[in-house]
Amino acid sequence: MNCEDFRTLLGEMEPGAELSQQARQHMESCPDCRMAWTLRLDCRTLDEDGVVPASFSSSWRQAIRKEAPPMEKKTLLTAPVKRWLAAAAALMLLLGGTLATRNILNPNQRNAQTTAGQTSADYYYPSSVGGDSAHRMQATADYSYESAMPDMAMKSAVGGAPQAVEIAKVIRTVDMTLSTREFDADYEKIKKALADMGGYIEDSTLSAEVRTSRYARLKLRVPAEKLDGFIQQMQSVGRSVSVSESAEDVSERYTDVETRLKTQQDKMARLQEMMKKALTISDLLEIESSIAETQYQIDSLSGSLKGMESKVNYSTVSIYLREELPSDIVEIKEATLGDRISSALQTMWEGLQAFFSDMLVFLVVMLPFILGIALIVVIVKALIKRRKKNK
Amino acid sequence: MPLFGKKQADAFEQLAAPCEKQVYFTCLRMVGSREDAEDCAQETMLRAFRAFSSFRGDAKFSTWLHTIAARVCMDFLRSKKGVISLDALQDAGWEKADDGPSPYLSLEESVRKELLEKALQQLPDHARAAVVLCDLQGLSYEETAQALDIPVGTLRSRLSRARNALQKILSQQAELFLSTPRPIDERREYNEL
Repeated sequence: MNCEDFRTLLGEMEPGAELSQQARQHMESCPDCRMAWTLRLDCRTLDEDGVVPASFSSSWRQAIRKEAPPMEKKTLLTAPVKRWLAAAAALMLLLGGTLATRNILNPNQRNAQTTAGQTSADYYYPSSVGGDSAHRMQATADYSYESAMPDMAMKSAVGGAPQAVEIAKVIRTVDMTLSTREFDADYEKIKKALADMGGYIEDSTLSAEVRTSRYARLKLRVPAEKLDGFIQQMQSVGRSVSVSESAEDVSERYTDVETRLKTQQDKMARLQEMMKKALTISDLLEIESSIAETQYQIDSLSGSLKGMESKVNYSTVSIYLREELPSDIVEIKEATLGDRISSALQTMWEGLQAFFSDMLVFLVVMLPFILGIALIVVIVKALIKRRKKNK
Repeated sequence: MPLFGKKQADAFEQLAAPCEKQVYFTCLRMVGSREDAEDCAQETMLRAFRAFSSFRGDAKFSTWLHTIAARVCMDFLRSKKGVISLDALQDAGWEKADDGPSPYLSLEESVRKELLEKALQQLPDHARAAVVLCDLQGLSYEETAQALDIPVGTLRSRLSRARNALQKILSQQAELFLSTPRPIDERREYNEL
C-alpha cells in the first residue's frame, strides 16, 4: 500500500472504522500517513472527556418548559380547528351579509317595497283567479256586514232586502272588481242593469289604450232597496274578482239633524210672529237678522238631511271592470306529482340563482373592504415576523 | 398524535438529553468560545423544541439536532464574522482527563488536542462544520451531508480539503503526532481508570 492508497482508504472510512493490517503496516513506515491517522483519532476523542456546563444543561430544560404552550390553548384551537373556524366564519359572514343586504343592494326588491301599496291589487290579482276566492271574499264581506249591523242582518234574513231602511238610516257602499273577456258586452250589461234598477252613473272613467287591457271605473248610484238584486246581477257579469261591502248607520245623526231642523223651523215661525208685532225699527232689524241666520241654518240642515237621504236611498256601487288579456288567463288544473316536483325544483333553482346573484353583488361591494383588511393583515404579519427575526 | 404543554417538553427532554453533550461541543468547536457555544447550543435546543411537532422521524433525532446546531452556528458565525478571538479557546469548556497510566502520553495527548482545537478554528467555517460533524461528532457522511444540506460528494471533497489543511497547519508540530497512536478503545480505557 502506498500513501495515495492510504489516503483514499482514510477518506472512504466511515467514522469509527478501524484500519486494516496492511494499512497499519504502511502507516508504521510513513510519518505523514501516521500523522493523518493520529489526527483522525484525536478528532474523535477531542471532546470525549469534555463536560457539558451545568448552566447549559439546566437552562435549555427551563427554556423549553417556558416555551411549552399551555395545554388548554393548544387542545382547543389547534391549527385545523382554526382553519375550519376561519372558513366557517367567512362563510357565515358571506351568507349573513348576503341575506342582510339583499334588500338594500337589489333595486328590484327596493322598488317592489316602495310601490307595494300601488301594486298590491295587481299582485293580488293572479292569486285570486278562479271563483272560489271571490266567493270567499263575498262571505267575508257578508260576515263583517252582519257583525256590524246585527238588527239589519236579522231583518235581511227574514225579508231579503233590508226593509229596515224605513226605521234605520243606513248608507251602504259596495266595491267590486270584475274581470272580463268580453269587455264591451259586459260594460253594456252593467249599464242596462243599472237602468233597469232605476239607478244612475255618478262618475265614469273608461280606458282603452292600445296593447294594454282596457278598464272602466264606474261609480253608480243604485236604489237601496234594489242593491242586493243589482249585486246579484253583477256576479254574472264577467268574473267577480273581489267584492267588498260596507254599511254605515247614520240613524242617530239623521235624527239629530232632523230635530235641529225642526227646532230651527219652530224658531222661524216664532220670529215671523214677532216680526208682525214689532214696533220699533231696531226691533225689526234685530228680528230680520235672526230670521236670516235661522234661515241659513234651516237651509244647511235641510241640505245635510237631503244628502243623507240620498246616500241612504241610493247606495254607492264602485265597479272596476278590467279586460282580461290572454296572458292573464291561467288554466287551473290539478297538479300532478311531477308538476309539483318540477315546480318545486324550478322555485328552488330560481331561489338559488337569486341568492347567488345577491351573494356575487355582496362580494363585489365588499371586495374593496376585504382587500383592505387582507392588506392590513399581511402587513401586520410581516411586521411581526420581521420583529421576531430581529429578536 | 401531537403532544402539548408539559408532555411535549418531557418527550423532547427525553430525546434531547442524551444529545446535549454532542450539541454543546458541536457548537463549541464551531464558534470557538464557551459562552457563545452555550448561547448557540441553547438556541439550538429552543429551535428544535419549537419545531419538534414537525419532526417526523425520517432522520435520527441526533442528526436532526446537529442539522439545527450547524445552522445556528453558521448564522452566528456569519453575524459575528471577524469578531471571534482564538484566545477564547483558552476558556473552552472541556476538562482535562484524569491522569492515565502514562502521564507522559496523557500530557502529549492534551497538548495535541489543544493544538488541534486551535487548528480547527483556523479552518473556514464550512470546512470546520464538516470536520466537526463528521470527525469530531462521528456522524456518517450521509448524516453530515444532510445536516449541512449539501450533497455527499461535496462533503467528501470538502472534508478531504479540510483534513489536508488541518494536517498542514499542525505539521509544524508533527513530532507530537508521529508517535504510534493507540486504538480509540484503548485510550478510553485509560481515561476511565
